[in-house]
Amino acid sequence: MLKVDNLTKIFGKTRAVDDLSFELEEGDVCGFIGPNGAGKTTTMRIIATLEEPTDGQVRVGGESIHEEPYRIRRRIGFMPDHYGTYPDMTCRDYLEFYARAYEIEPKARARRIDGIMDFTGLGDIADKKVEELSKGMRQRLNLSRALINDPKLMVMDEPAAGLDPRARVELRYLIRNLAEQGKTVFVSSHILTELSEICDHMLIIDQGRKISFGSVEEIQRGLREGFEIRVRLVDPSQVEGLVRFLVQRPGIQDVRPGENGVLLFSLRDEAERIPALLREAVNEGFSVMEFRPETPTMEDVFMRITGQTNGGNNGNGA
Amino acid sequence: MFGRTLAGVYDNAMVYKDITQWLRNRTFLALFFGLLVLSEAVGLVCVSIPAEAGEMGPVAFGILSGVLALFVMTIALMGMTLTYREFHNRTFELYSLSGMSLERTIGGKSISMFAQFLFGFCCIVPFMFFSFLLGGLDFYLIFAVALSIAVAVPPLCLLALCTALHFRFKGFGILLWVGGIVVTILVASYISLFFIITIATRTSMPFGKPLDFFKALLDFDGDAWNGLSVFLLFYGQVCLLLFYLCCNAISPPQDSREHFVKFFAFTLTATALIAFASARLGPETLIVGGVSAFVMSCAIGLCYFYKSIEVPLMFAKRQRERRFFPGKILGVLFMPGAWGTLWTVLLIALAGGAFTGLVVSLKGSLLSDQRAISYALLPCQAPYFLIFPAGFLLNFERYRGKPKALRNAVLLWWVLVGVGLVVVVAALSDAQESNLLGPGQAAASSVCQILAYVVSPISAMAVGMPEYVELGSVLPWFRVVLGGMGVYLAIRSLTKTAARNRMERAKTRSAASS
Ligand SMILES: Nc1ncnc2c1ncn2[C@@H]1O[C@H](COP(=O)(O)OP(=O)(O)OP(=O)(O)O)[C@@H](O)[C@H]1O
Ligand SMILES: [Mg+2]
Repeated sequence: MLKVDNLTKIFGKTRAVDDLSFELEEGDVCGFIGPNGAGKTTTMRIIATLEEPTDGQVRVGGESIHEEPYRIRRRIGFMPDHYGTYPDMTCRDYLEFYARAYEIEPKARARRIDGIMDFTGLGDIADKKVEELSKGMRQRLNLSRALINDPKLMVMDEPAAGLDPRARVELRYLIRNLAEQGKTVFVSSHILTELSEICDHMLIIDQGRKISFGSVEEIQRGLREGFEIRVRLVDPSQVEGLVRFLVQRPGIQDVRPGENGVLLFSLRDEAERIPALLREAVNEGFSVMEFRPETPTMEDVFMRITGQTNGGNNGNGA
Repeated sequence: MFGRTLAGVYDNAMVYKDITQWLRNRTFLALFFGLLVLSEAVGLVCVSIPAEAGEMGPVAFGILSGVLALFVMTIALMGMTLTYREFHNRTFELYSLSGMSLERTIGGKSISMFAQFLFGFCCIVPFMFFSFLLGGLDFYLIFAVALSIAVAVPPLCLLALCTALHFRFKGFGILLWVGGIVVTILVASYISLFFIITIATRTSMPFGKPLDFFKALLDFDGDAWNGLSVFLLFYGQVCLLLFYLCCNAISPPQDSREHFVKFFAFTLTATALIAFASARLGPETLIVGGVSAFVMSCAIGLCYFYKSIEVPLMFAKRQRERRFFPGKILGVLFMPGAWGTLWTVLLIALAGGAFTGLVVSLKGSLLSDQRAISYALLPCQAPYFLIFPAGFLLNFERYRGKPKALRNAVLLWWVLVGVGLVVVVAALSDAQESNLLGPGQAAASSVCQILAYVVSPISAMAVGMPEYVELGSVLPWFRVVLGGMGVYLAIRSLTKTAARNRMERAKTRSAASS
């Protein structure tokens, strides 16, 4: 349904999107995650044919954004992170306008608009002025607009931004509903956990580059592989010795000595290794006071991954 | 039939939106009813004041036409502010996502503005004819005024849209554009009247005032109708030019309407040249015609030369699908991008040159041969003025790869250096006339004059060719050749760079994937 190949967009000296490739099938819900300035909006705008890529190809339903931008526009529903200005218009006028713009048959218009308003829960405020709506209501209206042409692919740029917790839950429910209708949904956020429940795919990017892409289980498995272990010694002077001891063992990475006899490391292995490792350390004579394995939350891992790419860049640059 | 058309127009999403917004806007409704009440009040007051027959008619009529003009301005301003906000808040982007064509969008906007105007027009015009009953008025005058206001509205609306889509203003900049628009309208109407009258006065029948012209029209006078058709020819082209300027401004990066803009700029210049050539004017025709072709090519070059070298994809695709003569050829000649701009500038220059030849051969030698040649060459020098400051500015890092900055800098150069040199040359030649200069300073004066002629189109036009300098006859040729070569080289190197960049990207990609 959506196929992105080697997408690159350069603004002056900034590489906003850098050689990004991925593919979504029909009915997929894909979360698009990245910190501020990662290039999410830029990627989405390119998919929506609003921006021309510096290089690379995007195909929506087999058609290229380079060759058929107008055809693609009619097929997708794009929900940008801005609303635009609509002075002196009610919600119904607004949808009525877009229904005409999409050249929906006059007879079908009213039914379509009512259906969408029901779906997004705008029925009660149909006659309210657009400029007087609250943020959450506007977001719903924005979604209604994107749905008016019954698109096969929905591209949503941070739809949850500025919503209260209740509205977020409702939004997730709406997105799931869209997926059940067979639409492909590509939705961005800078909060990983927000999307992990409703998405079946995840695309994580940072500084325009892809960090990982796959089904949610794959990514979680990939990210959660192993354990973060926190050790605390009674005698802080033993820390150096413990570091030397740990780096010799297999499966141990990222040994980070801290203050007050605390030491952190990651273990890429089965859970059975943990008690064995503790036994060995005690036998070596280390005065272990605390030995605590922690499964990192996705958020932690995300922070670490994006942090690493930053470090990696600096390293390459130097 | 009428109802169906109306429904069809209302089905245009843009018309629907703008009219709905306008009807829901309370200030506007107030304005509208205010207008009605005001017109009625004017009528009543004029009737009730005891005056001699025929005194109050013109007063009432004057007030009403003022109100109508004000109303038109208000509509243009409101349309402009709305469009300005929509465009700069990226609302237009959402409209265009619906796949609504550029022409439909701009067409819808202009139709809705015209519909708003008709609303007020229908309120006021009956009262205008009512003031006829008060006496002292020529029936034709009322007719003429109402009609000219109605005729002025479409270009005014398009101009308002065009301004909103092309410029960014803050705070009191609004006053600037209102002022600018009023001035432009005045100038444009002056020029069009000038055309009608000049064309019409070709024969013995003089039309002193616009009013006489209207009367002649109603009397089915052939010359008057001739004049009218010339006017309509210009009017249509100006409207189309403005319309496509708007479409081009909102076009997505993959598409462009630049070719229409260039095409109508060209036909407009050509029509103007023909009109000039056939009008009964002295040698100054030559100057006016040559200069207008020159100004037009400079303007087109400034707007579209400093841009990406690549042709927008949608345009290229349509061009590939065009099979037959006019479309295909015109598509190449007025193609978006620097190459097409070059062809356009050259076409306008050719038209200017042909015009000069025509005038000189038709009207005998009005000028010395050398001056005639230099005027004929004037339009051909536009490429030189486009490329020369740009070549100089490209030595600075900050202008490389930044076409917009480059264009603004070139414009600034033209204006600042041009005006500066004009002032210096004027001062020096003043001093020379009063014999205040030594021989060295006289030489400096000629150097300045040559500089003025060479550096900026503004000073070149103002100062004119330095006749007493030996170089005078060579310079125009020199600039024509230099300009042509410069443009060719610049475009070639840009094309090559673009191709090389593409190759490099492809190479890095294949390296990355293997
Ligand atoms: N029109 C533009 N001109 C120049 N640079 C731009 C433009 N648009 C985006 N950028 C740059 O491209 C990079 C990516 O921006 P983008 O808006 O895509 O990030 P994002 O992931 O959407 O961030 P956020 O989470 O803040 O919305 C940023 O460094 C930004 O400064
Ligand atoms: Mg963003």
